[in-house]
Amino acid sequence: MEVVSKYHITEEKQRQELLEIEAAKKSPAKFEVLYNRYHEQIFRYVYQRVDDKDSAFDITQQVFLKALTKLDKYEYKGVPFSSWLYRIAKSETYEALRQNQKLRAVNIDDPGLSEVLGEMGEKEERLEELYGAQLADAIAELDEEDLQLVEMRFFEKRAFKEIGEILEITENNAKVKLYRVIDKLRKMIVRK
Amino acid sequence: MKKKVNKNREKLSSEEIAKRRDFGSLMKQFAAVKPVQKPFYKTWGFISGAAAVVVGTVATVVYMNMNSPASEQRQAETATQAAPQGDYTYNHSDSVKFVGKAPFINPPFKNLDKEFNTYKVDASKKTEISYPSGSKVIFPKDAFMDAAGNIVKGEVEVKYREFHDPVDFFLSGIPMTYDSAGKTYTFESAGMLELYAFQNGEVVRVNPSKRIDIELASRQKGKFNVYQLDTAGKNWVYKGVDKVKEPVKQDTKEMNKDTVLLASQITQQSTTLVYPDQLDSKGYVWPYDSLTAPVKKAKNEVQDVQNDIAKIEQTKPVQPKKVDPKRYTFNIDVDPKEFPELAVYKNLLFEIGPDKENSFWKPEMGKVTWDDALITEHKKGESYLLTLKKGKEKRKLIVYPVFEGANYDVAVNEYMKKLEEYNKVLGQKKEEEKKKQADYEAQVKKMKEEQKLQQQKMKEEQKKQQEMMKQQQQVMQQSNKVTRLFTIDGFGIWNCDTPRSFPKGAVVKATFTDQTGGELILPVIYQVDRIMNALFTYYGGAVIEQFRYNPQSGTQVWAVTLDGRLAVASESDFRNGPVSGSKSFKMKLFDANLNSESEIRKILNIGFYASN
Repeated sequence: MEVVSKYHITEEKQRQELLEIEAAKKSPAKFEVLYNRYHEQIFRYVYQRVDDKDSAFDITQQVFLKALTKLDKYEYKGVPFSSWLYRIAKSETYEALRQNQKLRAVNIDDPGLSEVLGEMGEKEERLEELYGAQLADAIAELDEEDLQLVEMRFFEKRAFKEIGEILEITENNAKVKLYRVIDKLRKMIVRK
Repeated sequence: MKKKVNKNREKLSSEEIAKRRDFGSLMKQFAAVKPVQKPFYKTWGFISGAAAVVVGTVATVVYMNMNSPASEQRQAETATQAAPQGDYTYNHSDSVKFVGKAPFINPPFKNLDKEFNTYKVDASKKTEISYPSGSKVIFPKDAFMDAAGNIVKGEVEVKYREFHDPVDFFLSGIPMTYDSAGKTYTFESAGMLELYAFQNGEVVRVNPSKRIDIELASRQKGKFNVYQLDTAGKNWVYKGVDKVKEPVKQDTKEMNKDTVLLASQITQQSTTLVYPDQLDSKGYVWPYDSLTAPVKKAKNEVQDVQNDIAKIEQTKPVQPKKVDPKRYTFNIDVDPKEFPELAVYKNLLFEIGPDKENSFWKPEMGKVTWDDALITEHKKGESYLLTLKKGKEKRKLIVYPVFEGANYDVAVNEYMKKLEEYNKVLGQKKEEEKKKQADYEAQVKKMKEEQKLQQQKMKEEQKKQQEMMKQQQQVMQQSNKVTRLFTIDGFGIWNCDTPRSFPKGAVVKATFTDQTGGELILPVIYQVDRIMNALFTYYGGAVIEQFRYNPQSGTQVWAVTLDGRLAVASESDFRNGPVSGSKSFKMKLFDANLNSESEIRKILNIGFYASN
């Protein structure tokens, strides 16, 4: 599966971004450049996990508000700024779901399911027809940690390096973990 | 957590998402949650206390009038001034009204008014207080008197601050113009101070029989006049001429070298510091790059073992099944590399399963000689997919590995043997994983302890070095300053000044626009001539009929728009500008939410007055 990520930035850009963060710490109006840069990424992350887009936009705005109010506490510790934003996004999303008593949404699509099946070694169309529905249910049954891995890889099309950085694990560990989740899914489908 | 599954939900385009991006709204929300700094005069209890001493000396009138009817008016006017923003629309006649109504002391950015330093002074003893600029204030014994005319005993709280350059003057909102003999001058200042004293929240004044000695650190050379601001009369009152004490010479070159070195050491240390206690809070997982070599090694070893376990699990042998005589079987050779779980068995058959996908199978199909038969994995360790091809015809069957007769018994024995081997190898690896994990955790613990110690040491060292650097900087700065000596007989605002006329060279009719050419209404326009430590002000609105500047020296012009934005003209407009006629100056507008003095200094390109 080819995964193209807009997530990674060069060291030079990272340095530039740190300057932008420092400027925004002094003057909140300068946060705009960071807001514009990460708004779509964060929105898509949130929207993947909630049912309606208006809520997703509201939560996204809340994520940036939180980031702006806590910006003076942000320190660069070797992970990109976006990783910090994703952490806030995760916490704000679950908090919003809890407060509004909404169900956690799992948004899946056929191309993503095909890729999961492909990773399982199921390459034939007929099998996809047969097991596609079971697979969707099985994905929804995964625990949160496993579900995030599957969502990020197959439905958000993120690279392993990016997944690793968001979940704060190594790239290799992300691969190993995902492989185990795929195995788990395979067993879940067979059971059904 | 319960979940709701949505399949193939419509994707949003980047354009749709961008449409909902609204930074303005974010800033409004931010403003609503951000704590607002109260200006000094609204936070102290001295306003009420001030009423009690209205009968005091002229000097104490300076701030006491804040609680007089005039003061109430001034506070009301301050509120009026704060109102224009958002939908506020302005017309030319408002300009005059607006300027006319502005408070006498009128900081342009209420949140950036310079803070006072607070000192505790024993009123019964001679006491000296020092300000970071190097200035000193010396209070003699019994320097204070209360509203009833009694000498104050005990502890007195003194509030003190200084202003030294055009940015200080601008942000203070203190008028720097001086009317004398019907002519208006602007002060070139060699330093300005403001001080008050309180006891138990009540204002106290200077004992009329005592004088307070001021030693004001100043960058300007030569003698200057001393003035006190009379806010009731709205003018400065001439008090005399200061004395100047020259600085003691220091070897600043050598000290400067040390300071730069220290600064660079501190910067380097700051960038290499790791803060494990912060990183590790709330289950934070450390970024791989920040780990020490032994931890990385231990972590990699854990992952290697985990990878091995995953590989071993792939080789778990498949439990043999007996053939069902009623079902059709195929004898197909499989590649042991491709299917390691079957590699242990000989005489293996594949039986067509009872699955509904196989319902198309008819016994006569068994008589067909197929061109090709391909086995692929179906359900791990259980079933396989057999693809049969003949010409264009392609059939797929779900098949199960089975054994016939004695072959089954052999296979079972083989299976038991291999399963035992498999469990043994897997168990060993899992045991190894446990050990490696324990080793990794021990290494992490060690790293945290080491880094915590290192951090502690570095913080202490950094603190020491910063202190040294601060001291050296202060000494260097003091060595460039003179000390202005004068005495004061009352609290309020005091200024060492020389009255100056507006710069000469060019006189133009000036208007101001934003970058798009839109006319700007600017209630007050501030002008700095680089060769003088002065802030000239024009009160106008849309047009300044006689705007004066010196094209030979650097001229800076700025203003604050009615919606609170800083507007700055380009210096080059004045360097190459006309000397007469009309000129429209383009101003660059900055955000309304300027949060610090340093931000304004950066925009205006005027650095901090040393050690202010």
